[in-house]
Amino acid sequence: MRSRARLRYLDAFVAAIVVFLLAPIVVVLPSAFSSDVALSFPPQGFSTRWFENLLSRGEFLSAARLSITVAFLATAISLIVGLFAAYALFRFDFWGRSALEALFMTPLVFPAIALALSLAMVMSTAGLLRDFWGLLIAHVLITMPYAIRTIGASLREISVAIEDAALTLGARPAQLFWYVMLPLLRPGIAAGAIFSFIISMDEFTVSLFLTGPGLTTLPIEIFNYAEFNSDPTIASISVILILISCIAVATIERLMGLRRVLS
Amino acid sequence: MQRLNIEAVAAGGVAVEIDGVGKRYQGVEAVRAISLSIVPGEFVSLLGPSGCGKTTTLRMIAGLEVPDSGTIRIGGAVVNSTPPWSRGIGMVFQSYALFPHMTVFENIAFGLKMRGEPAQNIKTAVDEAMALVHLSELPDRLPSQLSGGQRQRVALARALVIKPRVLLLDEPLGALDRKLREQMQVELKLIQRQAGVTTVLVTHDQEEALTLSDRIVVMSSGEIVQIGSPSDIYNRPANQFVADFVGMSNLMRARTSSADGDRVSVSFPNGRSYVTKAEGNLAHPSDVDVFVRPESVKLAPNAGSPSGKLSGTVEHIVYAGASTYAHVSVGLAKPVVASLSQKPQDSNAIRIGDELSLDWDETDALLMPALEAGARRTS
Amino acid sequence: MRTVRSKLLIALLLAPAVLISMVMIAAIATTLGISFLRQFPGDLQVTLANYIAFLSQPFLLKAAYQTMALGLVVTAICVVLGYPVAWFLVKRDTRFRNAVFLIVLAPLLVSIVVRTVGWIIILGNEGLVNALLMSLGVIDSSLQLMRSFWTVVVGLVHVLLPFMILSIASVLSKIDDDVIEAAMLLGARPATAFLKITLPMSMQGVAAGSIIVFALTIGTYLTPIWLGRGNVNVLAVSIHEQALISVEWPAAATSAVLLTIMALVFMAIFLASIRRMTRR
Ligand SMILES: Nc1ncnc2c1ncn2[C@@H]1O[C@H](COP(=O)(O)OP(=O)(O)O)[C@@H](O)[C@H]1O
Ligand SMILES: [Mg+2]
Repeated sequence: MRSRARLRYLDAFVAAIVVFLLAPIVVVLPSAFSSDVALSFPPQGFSTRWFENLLSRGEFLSAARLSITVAFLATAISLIVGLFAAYALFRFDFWGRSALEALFMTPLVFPAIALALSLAMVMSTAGLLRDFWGLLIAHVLITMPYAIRTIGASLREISVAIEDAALTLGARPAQLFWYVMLPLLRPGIAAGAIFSFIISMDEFTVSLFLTGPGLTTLPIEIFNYAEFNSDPTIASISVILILISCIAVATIERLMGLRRVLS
Repeated sequence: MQRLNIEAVAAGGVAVEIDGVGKRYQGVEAVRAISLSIVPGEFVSLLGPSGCGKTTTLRMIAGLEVPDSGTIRIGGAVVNSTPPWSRGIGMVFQSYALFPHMTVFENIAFGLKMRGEPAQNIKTAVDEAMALVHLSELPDRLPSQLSGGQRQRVALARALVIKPRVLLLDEPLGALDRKLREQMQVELKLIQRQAGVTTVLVTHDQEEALTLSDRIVVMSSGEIVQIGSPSDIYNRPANQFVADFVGMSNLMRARTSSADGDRVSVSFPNGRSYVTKAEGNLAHPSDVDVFVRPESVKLAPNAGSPSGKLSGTVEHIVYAGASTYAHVSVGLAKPVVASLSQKPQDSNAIRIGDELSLDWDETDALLMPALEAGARRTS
Repeated sequence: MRTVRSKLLIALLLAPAVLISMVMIAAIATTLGISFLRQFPGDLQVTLANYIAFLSQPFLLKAAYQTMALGLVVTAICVVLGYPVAWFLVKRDTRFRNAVFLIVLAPLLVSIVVRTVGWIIILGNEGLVNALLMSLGVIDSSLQLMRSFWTVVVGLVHVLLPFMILSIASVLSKIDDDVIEAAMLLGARPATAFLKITLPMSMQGVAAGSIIVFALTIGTYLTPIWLGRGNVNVLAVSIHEQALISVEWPAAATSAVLLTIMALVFMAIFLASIRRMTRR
């Protein structure tokens, strides 16, 4: 049988990978509180001046506001559209079903830069380049696969017999949806909401092509700032983003298990 | 037995008529133009092996599937295009399909709530329905906190509380262990009888069908093979399939000679033959299967010269609780199975290797036209 | 799955999602179209000139080569690092398993910007690695760890490893332990059982993960720009430059089309070889 020694090698290897995965996220934390003017490690001294710098700069705040607005709207639209699509995909069998599923998942695997350029080109022909609505449509496109996946995962665990039972008991389709499906799908919808929101907040490449002066999302603002400054401000904003992600991960984990959503 | 407060669920039944109804799924003919009339208040079972189209038939009655052909009438009205929510049907699913986010009370109340009943009426009706299925103590439990038997009762109460005109049961007891199943069968029959609701039960368990039904519909490969009372089905199976599927049976290949009046001679391939009453619809001579139930086979020690219809050696003896079966090799394709249950003196006396003669009463046997090889379908 | 005849209902349910996907299809079609135009907006004459120009510019050809190399190297490293982790997550029964799962998955929800900042802190001239090596006395002046192909590889492996682990783990978890135990009962040694059964069966997951990782690698702009600092010129960098700096849209479109074709060819080759392997 498998030797214990070999398993110990495996555990050590996995531990090393865990360190590798966590390292760049963890090192950001102390650097954000450095009093040094350059991003360095170990950080020199302790100060919160970079957080203050962050808050004093209007561009970060307005970028954050835009990011949150776009993320909020994109999430809401993706959830509604994704709920409909997931119901059709995972409750019915029809010609072209798997092709459509693949189509909806395409934004997940399409080379981001090519998708970004393509969206920029089509938005410019439609007059929506560097426009709020163009940006929003692109974010819906990018977050929709996550909504379909999480809601689909939830849906697959609700037996069709439960719907049939409700129908024979006299529930009309709208009542079935409101009293049975919606409460049962709530964890999936909530997880999908968090996922979509975070993915939209973090989206970089497509936003880079669709934003411009006066219309800048947070990741793009950070990118622009880092082009010309190398102080720990970007570390301090990263800390805030990491915090948001941690809350999101914990919530999804409690709602339905990250593992189930992603596999 | 306690008096049931059946008023909570009694609605009386209506007739269900199925006329040439068929359904196919992507090339699979699940149900082939079946016809069946169910009278008000009747308890009918659809019996057959898994995949024979029982559930599909039930779902078409419920309105959960749309038939490709034929008409379905409930209470005289054609319902082909009536959606399930306005058919007034109660259905119990094999998985129970309880709403996992609702308590026992809320589950049972669901149908009344959908009908917009006032809260006070709902409370009264649900309380009575819970009492009927002995669940009064558990109104606030979630389905996940219930045992299998309790879930089954919730499902039944939920279907009954809307006072359905027709009750549809899809293998409702399949997931319960034997003891609980038998207990539930008794209760189910009692409630059904008193409520007078027309009931269609789907089952692959022949004992359940025999115990509960007024009539049994035996199905195979999407077709109805036989409709009859339990004793009809058991004692006079329409063909080899029914004989085989319902209970244990001996089917022995033989050949008839030309009939002499209403008497015909039956010859087995092993050389034995006997004379019996000719069945009306058989041509002679022809190949037949002689059908005899194990409990109709009479055994006697073989005293010197062979007597009875067949004779042979006991190959082995199978103890099956209440009954004991002797497998007697008689020189035919299969040994003949004889039940020893009603004859304790026999079951002690008979041993493996004994030479016995086998006999049966003319009225206990049927001659069935032999099927061509391969045509005999069991599923 | 139910098969109700209400095609209308299905169509209505799918319509909004299809509409949104149509934006993507229109976008891809527009790019393909513009790559054949002499100038956009403006001169709408159809031409192959952009493709010829691409092939005749050594700078772009080198970028294409670097893109491909980056994609292959990152994918290969992700397979090698990801497989054991996936195996650990599915088959190793320890109480750390769930924690490891969370740690593997969580980075997917941390912004790529944040993660790339982290690598600057670790690999920068005044970063963690240099500080560590100096304090150990291994070196006495900072090593130039940034601005290289391999820095970009490290950053991308970090971003994309979770995708590979997830793909492999989801296939591994479907392999029945009984099959492997049966093989061992029939006399296969553990190593043989792994090579003959587990590995071939899990190739589906490796293939799916590789296709995703390759496509995402060659499409990433931020990591090559920040960690390569002008030394790692991949197609993503060229496309950004062509589109947003020199505003030559037909040229940018051409590069994007070729980049996408690269991903598709990789996918086709991978699927074909996997199919041949599993058939044998
Ligand atoms: N939704 C469906 N899609 C495709 N085939 C089905 C579907 N439902 C049932 N069938 C097929 O129809 C036949 C009858 O099924 P069913 O009515 O469920 O049988 P039973 O209840 O007697 O076991 C089977 O061959 C089954 O595979
Ligand atoms: Mg069934």
